[in-house]
Amino acid sequence: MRIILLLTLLATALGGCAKRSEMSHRPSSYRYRNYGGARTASDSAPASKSMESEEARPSPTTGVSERSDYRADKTTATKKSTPENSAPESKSDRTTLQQRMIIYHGDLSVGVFDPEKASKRCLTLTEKYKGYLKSRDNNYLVVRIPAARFFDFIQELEGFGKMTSRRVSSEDITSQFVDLSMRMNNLLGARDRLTAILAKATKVKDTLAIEKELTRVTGEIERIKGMLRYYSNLVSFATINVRFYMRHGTSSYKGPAIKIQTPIEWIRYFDIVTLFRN
Amino acid sequence: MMKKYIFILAIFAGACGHVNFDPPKGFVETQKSSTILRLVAADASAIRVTHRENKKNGSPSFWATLMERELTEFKGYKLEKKTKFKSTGFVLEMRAPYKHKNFHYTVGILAGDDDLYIVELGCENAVYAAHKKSFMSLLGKIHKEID
Repeated sequence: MRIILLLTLLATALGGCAKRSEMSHRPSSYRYRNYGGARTASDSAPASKSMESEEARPSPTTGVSERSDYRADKTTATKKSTPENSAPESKSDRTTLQQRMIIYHGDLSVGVFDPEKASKRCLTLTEKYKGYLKSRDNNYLVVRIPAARFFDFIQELEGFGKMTSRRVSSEDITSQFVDLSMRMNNLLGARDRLTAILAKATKVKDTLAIEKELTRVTGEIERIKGMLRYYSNLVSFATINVRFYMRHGTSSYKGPAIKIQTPIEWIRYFDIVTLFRN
Repeated sequence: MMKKYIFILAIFAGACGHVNFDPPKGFVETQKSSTILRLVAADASAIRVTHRENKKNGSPSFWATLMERELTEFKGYKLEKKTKFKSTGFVLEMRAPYKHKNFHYTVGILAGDDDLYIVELGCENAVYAAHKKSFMSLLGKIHKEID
């Protein structure tokens, strides 16, 4: 009876280990850093940097990691599959497991005394924040700002005039990004295997069939690469729509002090223009 | 007989004006009325003498301040120099934009008990020094008249 009980416990323990090792075999491209709790824009922005620092994760700046990265990823994944590295309790894994991919979007309406001047100031501010102008329709501007400085930019924009409307939204695309990365890695593996099979194929019929499949897989890889690049861009740069409109009400007149004209009418006649005209 | 009277009347009317001054060197008279005398130089510089009846308590300082305010604050001229001219007046030397060029515009204000004269000179930079002498000599003549 004791032996049976011991065997059952051993089997359970082994099963658990196997599950852990399976988890640790996931490509490192699945791992995301956990910032935990409330997340600020400054956390999200450097998405590109943190991603670059990770070995095989698709880079947001270059889009998707190339083949060499994928191989490095595989080796890293294998290395990390040892029990001590793969333990979920391990601090490094906990920090890399859940980085969020968040797209920030802002919609602002600012009342100003001179909308044209405010638009120009906004463009200068965009340059200062290392962002860029996406589109402009008179005094309606769509600008892209590095996500790290999204809130700073909005705060500075508030100083332009009276902000009457401010809508800020965010969209978490972590799951889509993870899904795409996973599919990408699977397809890269499939492409490797197909290439190996193609090298061994002897019959024309087989060769054609493998090449057809290889073309399909390559096409799919390119499509996913594009989508990852697109998502990375959306995460790295927040989109802000700003509308400057003419503000009415008390104007802050900053010109020279208004003076009362001379009470003696004929004095106004003296002028170089009248002198030469006569 | 009638012709003789008309002739005498004409001479009298001419002499009656307040701006009977001989043109200074380099200027010729182009227009003259009882209150305005206009002189021009060959280089298109111009002098205009305007006579007005002075008001009670109208000191040279009062008129100079009034003119300075009008020309600098309301017309945007740049005052370069303000000098007192003898006991009866002031000279305001200014720069004035005219036809996209910077002209000299100098105004002399002379006030006596009953008369007020405003003498203006407008000219280009190159000829200002020469014309200023003529302008000042004219002011001297007017000063003698009202002092």
